[in-house]
Amino acid sequence: MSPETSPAPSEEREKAYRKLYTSKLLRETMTLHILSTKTASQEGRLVWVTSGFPVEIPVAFNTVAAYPEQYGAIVGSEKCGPLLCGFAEELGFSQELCSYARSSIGSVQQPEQSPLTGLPKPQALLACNNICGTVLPWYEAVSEMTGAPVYLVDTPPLEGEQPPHHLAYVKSNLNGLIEFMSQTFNHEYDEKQLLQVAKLSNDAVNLWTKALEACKNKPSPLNCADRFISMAPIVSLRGTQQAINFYETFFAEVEERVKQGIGAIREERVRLLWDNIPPWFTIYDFFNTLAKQGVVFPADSYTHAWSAAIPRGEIIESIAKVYSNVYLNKGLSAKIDKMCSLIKDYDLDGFVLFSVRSCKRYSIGQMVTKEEITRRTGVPGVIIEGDMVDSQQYNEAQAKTRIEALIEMIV
Amino acid sequence: MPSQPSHGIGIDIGSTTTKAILINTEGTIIAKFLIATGASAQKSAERCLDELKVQSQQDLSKIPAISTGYGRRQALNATKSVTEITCHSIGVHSQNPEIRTLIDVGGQDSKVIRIGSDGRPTDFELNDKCSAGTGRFLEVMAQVLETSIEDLGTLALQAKVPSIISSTCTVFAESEVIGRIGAGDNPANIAAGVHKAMAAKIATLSHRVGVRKPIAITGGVALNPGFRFYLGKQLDADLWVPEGPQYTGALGAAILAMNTRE
Amino acid sequence: MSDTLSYDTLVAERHQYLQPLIAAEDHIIGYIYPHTPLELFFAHQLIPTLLWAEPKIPGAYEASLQTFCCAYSRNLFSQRAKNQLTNLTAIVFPGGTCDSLQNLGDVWQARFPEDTLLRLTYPVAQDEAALTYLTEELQNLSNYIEVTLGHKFSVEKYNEAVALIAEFRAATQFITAARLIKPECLSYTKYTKLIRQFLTVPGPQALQLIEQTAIEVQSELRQEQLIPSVEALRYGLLQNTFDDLTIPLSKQGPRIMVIGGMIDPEGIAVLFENAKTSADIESVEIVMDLLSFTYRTVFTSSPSLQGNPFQELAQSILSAPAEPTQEGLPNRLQFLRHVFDQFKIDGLIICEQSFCDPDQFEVPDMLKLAEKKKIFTVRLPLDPEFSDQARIEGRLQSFLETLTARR
Repeated sequence: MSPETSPAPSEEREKAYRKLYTSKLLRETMTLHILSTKTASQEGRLVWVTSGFPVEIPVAFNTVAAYPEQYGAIVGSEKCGPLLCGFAEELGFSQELCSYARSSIGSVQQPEQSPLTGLPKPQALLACNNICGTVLPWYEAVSEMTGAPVYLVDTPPLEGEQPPHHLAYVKSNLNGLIEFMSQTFNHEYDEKQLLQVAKLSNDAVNLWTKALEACKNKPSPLNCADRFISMAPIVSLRGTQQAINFYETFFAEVEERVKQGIGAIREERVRLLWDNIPPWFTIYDFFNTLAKQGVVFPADSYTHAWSAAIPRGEIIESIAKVYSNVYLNKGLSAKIDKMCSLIKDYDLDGFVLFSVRSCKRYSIGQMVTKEEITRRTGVPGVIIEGDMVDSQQYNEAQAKTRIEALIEMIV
Repeated sequence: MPSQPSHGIGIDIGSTTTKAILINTEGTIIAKFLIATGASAQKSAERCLDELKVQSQQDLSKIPAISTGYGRRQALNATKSVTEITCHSIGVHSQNPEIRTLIDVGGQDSKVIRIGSDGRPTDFELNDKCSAGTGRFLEVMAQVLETSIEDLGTLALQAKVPSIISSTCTVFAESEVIGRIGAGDNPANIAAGVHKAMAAKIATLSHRVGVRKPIAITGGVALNPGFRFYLGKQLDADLWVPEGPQYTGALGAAILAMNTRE
Repeated sequence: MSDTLSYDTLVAERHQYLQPLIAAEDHIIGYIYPHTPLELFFAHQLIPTLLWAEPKIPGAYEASLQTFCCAYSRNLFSQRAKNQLTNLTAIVFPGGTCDSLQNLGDVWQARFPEDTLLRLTYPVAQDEAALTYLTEELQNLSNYIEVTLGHKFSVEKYNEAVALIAEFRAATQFITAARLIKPECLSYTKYTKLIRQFLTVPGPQALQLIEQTAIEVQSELRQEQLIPSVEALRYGLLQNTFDDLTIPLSKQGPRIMVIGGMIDPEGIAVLFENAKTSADIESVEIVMDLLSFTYRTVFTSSPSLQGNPFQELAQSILSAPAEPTQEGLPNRLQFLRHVFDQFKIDGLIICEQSFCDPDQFEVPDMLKLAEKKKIFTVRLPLDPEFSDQARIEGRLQSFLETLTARR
């Protein structure tokens, strides 16, 4: 996402952190994607979607999807979060609101001052509230600014198993989406095309999942930043051949590392779990500094959110099931279960919960989570506070001290 | 026929300092005084009035007084209380009728006021709950940099490359500054970074109201040349500073007091 | 000098209202979200009481919730942690309305496993599918209450409750419409007190006070032949078709409207009155609010006694007007446009509950609209724990001074 300067080979040997060869392909893949969103916008077939949106449907309608959350990550990495958030605040958006939303609104307001001159103009805004409730008011606000209509796929939060009336409701929303897409883009729905897209989506998801699971190995072939950066295509190119092409190469590199016993960091001493979105504005510095101390993050709750394939069966029902059951749409106990099993399966020594001020759905409950995970797994954890884009809300010194204290508890 | 009184008193009880002014019909300032508000707003207001009495050698008991500022209701001897928004607007208008936007940065509050041609406020914005973007922020940073608040702004102007201070939260910025000191940044650069961050915060507040030129700046922080420099840069404008910028609210209150009918 | 918001008398009153129920050992169920189906709980012999934020409660959430959890959630949690929410048989939490309340329920259950929590998850959409979904949710909740609390659904109690709530709405709708035409007929403070009392203990006693007031207002307006206008307005507001009504508005001083979500309307009335006194401006009055616990509750349509109760209740909930926890910003802005045009609003007080997404996201569009209509606005950042009452009242006083000067 952020162009990291490639170190000279001699220098690299000294580094605690190993760069992926695939990062060049990643950059090419994403650049092509950005270009395709520009073209699509000009051709009147660009949709903006939330990260948990059933994107297979708009892709099957030959539209191209751009992701404001991913754009937020770019804004963060480019360290212009406070500037863009400021533009939104000038319009009256509270500083207390989500910084993905604020920076997205800020970039719509002042595209010329935004990285990549903002996302290209959308023809429709597609939101699914399976990741949080904020996406709807955010997209409605963008709709007021751009005139693009909003379609919401409503997936009420689940407690436990999905009951039949919930499934029926989500299915009806997806059928509504199909109708909306047909009308907005004057394109007939073709189930065969959707099945094809779903297959491409699953293939990429399976490759991605295999790469994630390879991190069970010691040393772990991937660190947190590797996954956060390499997840870009699984988020924004899901359902396309490009995503599969990328993840085939990516997984090959991961496999190769495993085979040769090469770790993501030079010396793996402590294995930790990461919870939540990362602080994009310091993503390399943050994880690489820890890498120097022998700390690796073989698993995180965030990138694992894109590891569920669409099950067999009637396609709309299958999509309804998989997108209703995403991690963030379930209660606290499901999150705790997931993190405990990651700690067990990846043999982790501790965990870091990043309390992200922007993301209420992800973060509220972390205090309970911390106690409960330690009670169940016996490993210690720490909560650090901050934000993913708005660096004004992040206290680096405090975060580092807390993590160092955690490491001292483990080593 | 009711007549206008010949004198007026304005008392501005801010959270950090209390200011009082006595003016006559011509608008001439006869006496003025400023002290720290301390624990009792009421006592500091009384102290100020005593001092006005000494300075002017007049019996003040018949002169109408208007209190303003955060502790405006604590001034028992005031005829009426009016908010600092209205008082600042009127005060600065009397000193420079051209001013259309006033930025006042006090000890614990900051505000941006758009002023109509009649000197009355037409719109305003105040800082939120915390001390980000107030004098308090600079005060804490001065302490961390082991300099006085008076010297902090001059120090900032000596900077070559301002340090990056991204937070305007007083607590977070404090540790950021400590971090910059630890990283070996020079104090002038850090001071400049602090002023830049604060100027950005005030600029956002200003844009919410909509900045119209000319712009004036008042309050204790108006005396800080470093802040004026960075805010001027942020807003791309020259900032006009009245004489005695801490007294603007009190002056406005005194003018309002004089205009009350007896 | 730096008191947080405190309306002591309101807090004391709430306990006073609840006392007789506690003495009679009635089963009380606490609720949070304004569009909770009160009738359903009555049908299960539970008396629903709205859990208001209580500003005087010292923060006791720090070990369980972050500060960026909304102010209302934090406050409720602190009340519970300080053992202020005793005598409740259960608490019903809303699902799907916002992220703070969604997660609050989970944290609450983890921290207070001895509490009985019920959850009603709302759809965000308002179409036929949403109706079917919510009907089923209500049916499930009813079954769950029967199983966990052993309270059966009584048709007789349900019918009584439907009548009670419908009468409450009818009388308050009348008063709301009357105040829009002639705000002097009842002060905003009294208006909000009546509603607050009913929502704290909904029952015949609180209803009687409202109906008595409605009768008094009615006889005052009858003398001026304003009743047909009031009724037409009330009907128009219910149907959201008031944009072509001709409404005779009294020519009094500045007309203020309050907008915001789940904040305490009577608390706003207290702040407003204090600011009014300080500014020494008598003629200004709040003529209307669009808050969750007043307008949005009162102008929700009541269920009909015919038909399936759960479906009727679902229909009622989905009819809540101007509710930002539901889809449809363009509709709400259209509604606001009509309100601004028709009701000659001079000033707008925008309440922003701290860290409340649904409230805060709409503010910029409201500001834009108000500016277009030349309506002067003030924003009140409200947080029962952190807001400084003197500062909030100062903001309001400045607003009133400026508004008067602008006129």
